[in-house]
Amino acid sequence: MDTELNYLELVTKDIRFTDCYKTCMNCGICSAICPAAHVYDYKPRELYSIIQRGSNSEIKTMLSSDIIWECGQCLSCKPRCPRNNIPGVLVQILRKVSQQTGLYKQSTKGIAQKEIVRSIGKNIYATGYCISPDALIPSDHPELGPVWEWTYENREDLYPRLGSPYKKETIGSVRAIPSKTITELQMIFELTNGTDFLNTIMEGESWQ
Amino acid sequence: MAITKQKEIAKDNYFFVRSCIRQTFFPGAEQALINILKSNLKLNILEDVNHTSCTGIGFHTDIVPLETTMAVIARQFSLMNQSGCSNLLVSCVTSFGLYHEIIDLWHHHPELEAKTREVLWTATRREFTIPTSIAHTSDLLYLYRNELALQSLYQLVSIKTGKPLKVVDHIGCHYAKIFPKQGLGGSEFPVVLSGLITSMGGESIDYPERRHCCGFGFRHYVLKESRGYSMTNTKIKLESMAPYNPDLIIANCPGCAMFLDRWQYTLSEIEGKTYDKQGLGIPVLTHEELAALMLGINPWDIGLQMHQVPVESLLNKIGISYSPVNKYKLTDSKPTTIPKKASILQ
Amino acid sequence: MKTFDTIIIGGGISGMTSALALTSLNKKVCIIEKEVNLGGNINNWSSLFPGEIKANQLALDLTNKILNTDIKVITSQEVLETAQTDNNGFFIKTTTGACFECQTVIVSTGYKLFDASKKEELGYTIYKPVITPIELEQMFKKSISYPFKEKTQQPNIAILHCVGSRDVQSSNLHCSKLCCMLAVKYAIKLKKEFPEAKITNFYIDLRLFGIGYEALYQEAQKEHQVSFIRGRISEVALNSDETLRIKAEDTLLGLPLKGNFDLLVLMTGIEGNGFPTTQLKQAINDAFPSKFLASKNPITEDNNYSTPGVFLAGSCKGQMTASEAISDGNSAALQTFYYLKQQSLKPINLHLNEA
Repeated sequence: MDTELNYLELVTKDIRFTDCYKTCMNCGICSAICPAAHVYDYKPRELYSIIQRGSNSEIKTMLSSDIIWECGQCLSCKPRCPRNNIPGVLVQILRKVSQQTGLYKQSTKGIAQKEIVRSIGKNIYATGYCISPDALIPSDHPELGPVWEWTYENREDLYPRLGSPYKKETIGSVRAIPSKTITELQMIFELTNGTDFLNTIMEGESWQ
Repeated sequence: MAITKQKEIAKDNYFFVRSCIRQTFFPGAEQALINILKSNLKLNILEDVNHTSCTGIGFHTDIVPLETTMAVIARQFSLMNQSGCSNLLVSCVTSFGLYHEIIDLWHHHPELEAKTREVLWTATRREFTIPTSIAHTSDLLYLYRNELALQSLYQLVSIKTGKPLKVVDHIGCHYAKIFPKQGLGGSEFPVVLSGLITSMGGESIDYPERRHCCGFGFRHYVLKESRGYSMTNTKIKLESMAPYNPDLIIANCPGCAMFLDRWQYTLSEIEGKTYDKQGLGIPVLTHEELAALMLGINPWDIGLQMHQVPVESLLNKIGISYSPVNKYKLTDSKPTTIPKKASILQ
Repeated sequence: MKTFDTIIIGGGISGMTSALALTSLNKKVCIIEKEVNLGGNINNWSSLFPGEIKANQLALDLTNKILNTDIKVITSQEVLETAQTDNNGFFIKTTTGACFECQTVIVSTGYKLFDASKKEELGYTIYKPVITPIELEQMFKKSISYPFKEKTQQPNIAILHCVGSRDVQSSNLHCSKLCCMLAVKYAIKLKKEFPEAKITNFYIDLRLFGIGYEALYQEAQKEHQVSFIRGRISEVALNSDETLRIKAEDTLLGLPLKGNFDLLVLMTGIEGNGFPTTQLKQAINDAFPSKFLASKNPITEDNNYSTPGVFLAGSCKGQMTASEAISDGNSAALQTFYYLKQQSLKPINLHLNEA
């Protein structure tokens, strides 16, 4: 027998829920300013409408669909809402629950979270940085232009030329973070279930 | 809403934390900033080789859970405490917003702070206290803008016409939209960059899409299939700037600066046009790069050769001399290689 | 020290009406008004609905009536302090140091408009083509010119409802009741002034409760082709050609929109003025500081303040139409009169009672 999870409860019991979810009057002030609403079939207030209606199956559908992945996390909505709702933070909660329960796999945009773990997640875990020069392979990023290609090819000389200790464990930009610190970082990930969460997203596939 | 009281910025004694994006795309800018703060302004700026990313990009792409980010941030505070400083100086705008978000969360939910202390202790045997103040590096340059202007060798003025250069600014969303009181001037008309521009002699130009997000979108840029989102939003901004013929764009968020620069290239390849009349693109500088340039630091030591939109048109307008030969020079022993040419942006 | 039966704080239409009613009942009345002229907010309006009565004519008529009575009128002074006297009366001291004594006080301090410059994202006082009813009324009276190019015969005009109302960011959670009606009235008036204009009202809910208001809405749509878009404007910026760039969502179509307009009228909401002095202040209405005054009981004792002998008249309690404010002035006067009568029937507390 399939006992359905109480998705509504999973969303509402997140500690950030009462900070970001007040009542919504659907005035549209958030969608007016939301960059994602202008290019995607998405309106921040729809997330609130769905939760306000309180139907578990509707919420399950929402967590399985693309609409929770459209937000660009700019938080332009926050200073404008006349009821103090924060759609950008509600989205964080929804994305968390979607990944925790596996529903993210039902949408094309959701399942792409795996790609983010493979790039950003891996980089944080291994280097202590979200982004490093090594990770931005020019063929993966043609939009960065020929100057980036040149930067990448010559990075070992260019970064030091600009004063960087480049991969040495000395204070400065693009330094190597000491392994002692990486260990502390990874321990934090373990103890806060951050590593578990990354493994959950990757469904056991190796990413480190 | 308008803010009623401007936030206070500590004058000195900062613990500096770096930015993943800024050090990747603007490595010289962070270095130039430290030099300016220490040598030009004689400030006490401390740093610890053991600090890490705040995990901001991981947090906003929803792969790093809240509890993990809180503990990593607590660890940064612990390093700050060890240095003896209680003022945090933040290079990245996402980090700046995130530090404030976490502290605000702890304020409203003290049990989260308690839990974080427990986790940090168990994981690293560290303890922490929350900073007395948090400033973004652009806040500090704003605070000292008049002192820097006095020390500057150059001004944002055209040597040909004597008129101020037209400068448009872009403020990173997370600087003032999350907590308007934490942004100088509030969320609608922040002054942190326009103040610096004006003190350097430039004319700060308002444009319709000034508050529009550059479009980074975190996951939208990281994932190839949605990079168009990022480009579209920057295009909206560039189109909005174009009628005012700006000479320069200044941005305080490293991601924004990178996008405003790079998407001009990508758009020029796709559309066959630039957003300025001369076909050269509109140069983009970060606030540190601007200050360093005005103080007379060699453009290629600042790292301006890493920009895709060439800065020479700006250097010529201001009257800053530079060596074209040395632009891409790396070491004395190696022959200089140069990047391939773009189709439109020369 | 001058003594009165009633001192009325605030010489707007409610206060003036109370004064005239009380004086006709042979009571000794004084009005203390902070502005140079009587009339209050009415002086800023051009006409009143229904009937298109000229607002300043109403103010003049009431003022002339008052001048023909014994009512003491003190203008350009504000009440600085109040205190209770031994026989349950009140001392009142004004900003010039003048002192008065009275048996009763009527507070009719009215309302003020929300300061739209606080909502920087809407551009008031930043971009010229953004105005509020204050400026629009002056434009209707022809005392200032419209802030768009004179050659514009077909101006694109936007009217935004709910500015500084129903908005936690403005600290005003309440609905200001009258702005929707006024906004529809303005739309029609602007269309009559500029027959080729395109007028768009941006609203969230249309609250048109009174007699004739719903008909006005239909008239706006039918006779004047006014567009009504359900969506709250989020941001206003200035284009290089000095038109306004407005961002809103048409929530009924579910589409975000950006539009260029020649004029934006912000329908600013109403806030109270608080209690005139701190000494007799009691708790206020809303959880947020909208500064309206709470009566003792909104149904049965709506003109009584919690302090005996103090009465409230008019929009200092909450949003009111002009006709409601005048009615309330009469009602407050009657309650005051009853109270004065009761007080005069009480035995005077002389030491001789002991005998």
